[in-house]
Amino acid sequence: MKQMTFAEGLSLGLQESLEQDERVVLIGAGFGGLTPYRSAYAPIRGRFSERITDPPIAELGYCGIAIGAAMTGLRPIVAMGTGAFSFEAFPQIANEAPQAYYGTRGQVTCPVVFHMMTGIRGAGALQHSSSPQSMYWNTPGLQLVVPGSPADARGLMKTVALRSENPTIFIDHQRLQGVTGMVDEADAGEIPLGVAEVKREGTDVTIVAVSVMVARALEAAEKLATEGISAEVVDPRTLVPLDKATILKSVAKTGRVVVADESQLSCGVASELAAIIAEEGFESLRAPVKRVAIPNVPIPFHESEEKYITPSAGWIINAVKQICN
Amino acid sequence: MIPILSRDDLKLALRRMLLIRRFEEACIIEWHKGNVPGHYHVSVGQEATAAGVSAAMDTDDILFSTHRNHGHVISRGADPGKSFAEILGKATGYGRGKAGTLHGAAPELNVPLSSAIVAGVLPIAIGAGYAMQVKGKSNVSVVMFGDGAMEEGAAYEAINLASLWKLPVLFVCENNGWGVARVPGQASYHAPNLALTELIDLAKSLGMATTTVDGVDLGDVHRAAKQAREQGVAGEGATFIEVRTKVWPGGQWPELVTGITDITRAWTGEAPAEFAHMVDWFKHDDPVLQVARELNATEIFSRDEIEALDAEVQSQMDQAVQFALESPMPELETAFEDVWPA
Amino acid sequence: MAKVKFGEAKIKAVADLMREDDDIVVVGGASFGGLHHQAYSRPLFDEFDARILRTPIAELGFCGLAVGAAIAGLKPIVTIGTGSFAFEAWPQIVNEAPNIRYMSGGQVKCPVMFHTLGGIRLGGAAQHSARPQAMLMQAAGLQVIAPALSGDLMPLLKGVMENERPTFWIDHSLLTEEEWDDTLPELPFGKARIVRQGSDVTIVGYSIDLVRCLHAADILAAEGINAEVIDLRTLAPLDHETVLNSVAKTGLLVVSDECSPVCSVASEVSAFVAEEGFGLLRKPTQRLNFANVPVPMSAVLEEHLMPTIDKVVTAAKVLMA
Repeated sequence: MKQMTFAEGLSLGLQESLEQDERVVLIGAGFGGLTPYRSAYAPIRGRFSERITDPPIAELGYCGIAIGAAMTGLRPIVAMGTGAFSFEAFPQIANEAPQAYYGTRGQVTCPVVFHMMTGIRGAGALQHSSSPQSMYWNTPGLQLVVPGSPADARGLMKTVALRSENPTIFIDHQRLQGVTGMVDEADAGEIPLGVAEVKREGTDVTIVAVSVMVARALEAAEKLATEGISAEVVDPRTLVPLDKATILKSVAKTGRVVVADESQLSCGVASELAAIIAEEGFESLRAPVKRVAIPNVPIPFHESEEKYITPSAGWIINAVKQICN
Repeated sequence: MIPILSRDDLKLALRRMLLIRRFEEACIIEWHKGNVPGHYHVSVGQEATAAGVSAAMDTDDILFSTHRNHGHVISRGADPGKSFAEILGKATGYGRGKAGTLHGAAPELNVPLSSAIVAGVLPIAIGAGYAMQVKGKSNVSVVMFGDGAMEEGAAYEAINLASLWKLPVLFVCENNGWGVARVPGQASYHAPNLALTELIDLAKSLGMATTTVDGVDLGDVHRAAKQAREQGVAGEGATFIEVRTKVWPGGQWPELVTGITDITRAWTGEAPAEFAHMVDWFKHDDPVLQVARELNATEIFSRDEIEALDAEVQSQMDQAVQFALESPMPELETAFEDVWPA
Repeated sequence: MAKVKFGEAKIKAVADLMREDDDIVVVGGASFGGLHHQAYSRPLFDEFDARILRTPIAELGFCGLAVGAAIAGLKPIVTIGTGSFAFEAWPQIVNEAPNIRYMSGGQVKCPVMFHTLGGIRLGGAAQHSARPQAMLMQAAGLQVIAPALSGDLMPLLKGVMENERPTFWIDHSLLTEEEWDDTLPELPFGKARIVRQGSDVTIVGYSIDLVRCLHAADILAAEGINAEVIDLRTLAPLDHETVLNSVAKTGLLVVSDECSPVCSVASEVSAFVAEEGFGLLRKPTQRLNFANVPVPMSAVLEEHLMPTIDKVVTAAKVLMA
């Protein structure tokens, strides 16, 4: 067992995938963005440079290439960089990849992984701070993984790169890169899709948190514990497929729920999770289902304003207190 | 060459070039002090492009830019204090702290927008040209962008549409040699990620007027922009201008790799001792030194005049930095304002 | 009060607005009518030929062009065609137009209106049946309207022209032949409309689903169930108050929405009711959406997967049981 950063965990998962299956190739390898943790990914280029194709700034083009290559025998991972850049390739990601299997009665598979760094990163401003996970969750046929810890990053990357036959969106975040956690390198560590994890047990309130919000939820739970509120943190880890059973089991236990995701509120991940919980956990609920998400505003440049609209541990704490009295 | 401009307009062009240079130096200095948030892009080495194009433009022409916008905004007469304040995210900036460096603008000077998505600005800029055509205006829409934009599909569509409808648009492509992947390609001048031999070939094959100019030469830039503007206003359609500038190595993670500009180097052409290896820059690749050199050599301005102008500009920039540093942060609740007009 | 077909009322509203304001132009090749309803758009072409810019198949290019034209003083309506084609222009629609006002600190306006004749049109198959409205609601700064009734067309379109916000108009080909009153009681822009008053169950819909909800309400009435039907009219801004007031009255909620089910408009309605109206519901909200699969070509399969009138009726009855 070893303490690692998320960047190290993801880098390990990528390297192991490249080692184990020669069909795994990379289009772009700019993981880690502009963060100081990006050096954790350097071994990928060091060890597997011949498996990396560095494309021009042509997202529509190179995502199409990845999809075509996936349909014809390769297992490409596309390092898209900033989540907003995936908008350039939207017709390919949302309107080509997901139809392959369905439209061919299962004869054509498309095992491509689109990796992107989403969300509010600090001075990204309006066009580089998008959180497209909600849009992708609205697209049938796309698998959607949202790791929030180093072990989950490693394990989920390995599963989608090596085992899955479905086109996958791998949601990463610049502010996840330095999150630490234990990873057992001796274990293969592949994480099955559709299995949520209770990251922290509790009895008073359920916090369902996604991606970068997992660490913030755990921070909130720590603080709440000192004030006598026992919070259970449930991390879905994958949104497609979704482990509803684990979430609803927690809701049945606590009766009070806060859902946290870093994308805008309207028709967002938090809204969907809240709707599911309100409908399927109807009998268990003893309080409103609170959503913690970015308000419906564009992302401003200035640090203090940006912080003002970023869902934080503090927001989660406030939401919990509103429903636990 | 010297642009065909009045003495006053020549002085204004030089003033703007000096201001852009001092502005970018201030950016780098303040970034090293920790005062500039995020990632930003400087236009050192591209001052003549901004100044030359602007000198050919009318006040009612509209200019669009990208993430590398500082020089363009300044060249249109933006207040350096308000521009710098925006880079620091202050309430007194042109965007009230909402836009930052990536979306530098000066709407009241007809610089409404900089888009930071590569090539995103091209279709928008041709739209302004379309509006001018519909409204019968004698203006042009000018879009400043880099060679990287030519890698995106949006560029193709914008050039095709502008050519098809003879829109009054100047496409000014600054080929500064900073292609994202530094892999040698086929192009005759940088642009490593394009299968084009000449960057202008795409526009040319789509029936557009094209030209390639030397970005260190203020007169060359101005002449091309002026001609393109005249053609656009006369209804003869858009022009694609490739401006070639030299790579300024300090651009990647902005660093003062040629030091703070000493205008007297224009007279000597010599590099300072600590930057001795940057021979070419000081001799002929720095547009600011080169333009000053030419204006003096042709006796349009004396060395004293130019040095005095530079001192004035430096002082103006110092005040702008002070203003920006002392400006207040935006009020937090303004994060919810300006989403919609009504 | 006369009855008028939605398709006719739509073109009349656009034409009336264009007559009043020279700055309104139409950009795009689809001209509101799609392939099957071009006859309706004919009058527009005849009168405003010079103000209609017929475009090549270059959605990214011409949507961006419309954004720039709006910045420079025009009011373009961009007819993109089917909802799926909006994906080609996605960067412009979700990451340029909605940001412009905000990043200029309120100084630059972008009064562009994107229009798609979208949705499950029957036979569109996987790539021509997109319902992008829920995704678009994620783009803060983008207004989203979805007129369903003839009498709402002019008020909503006029509202957009007046508030000058970048807007996406979710239209639907199956609305074209439906006949409704040509005028409706005045209602502020952004407010949902209670189209049919009732007290037993609240049924919320928009666009083509609103029409299905109304037909479902008629069937339910014949069986003694008095449904209150709400038309959302605008998705951004979204009116919470009208829905919550109705749920306070009935305690039972059905939401019908043609979008893919996850992170859909129906999800949003269910979520805000769970958050702001806790305790009002006697039973869980019934959400109806198109099934969570790509859209199949076969009409039989499509019908099976859609939120049909019968499914709305069934959902209401389940709640009333």
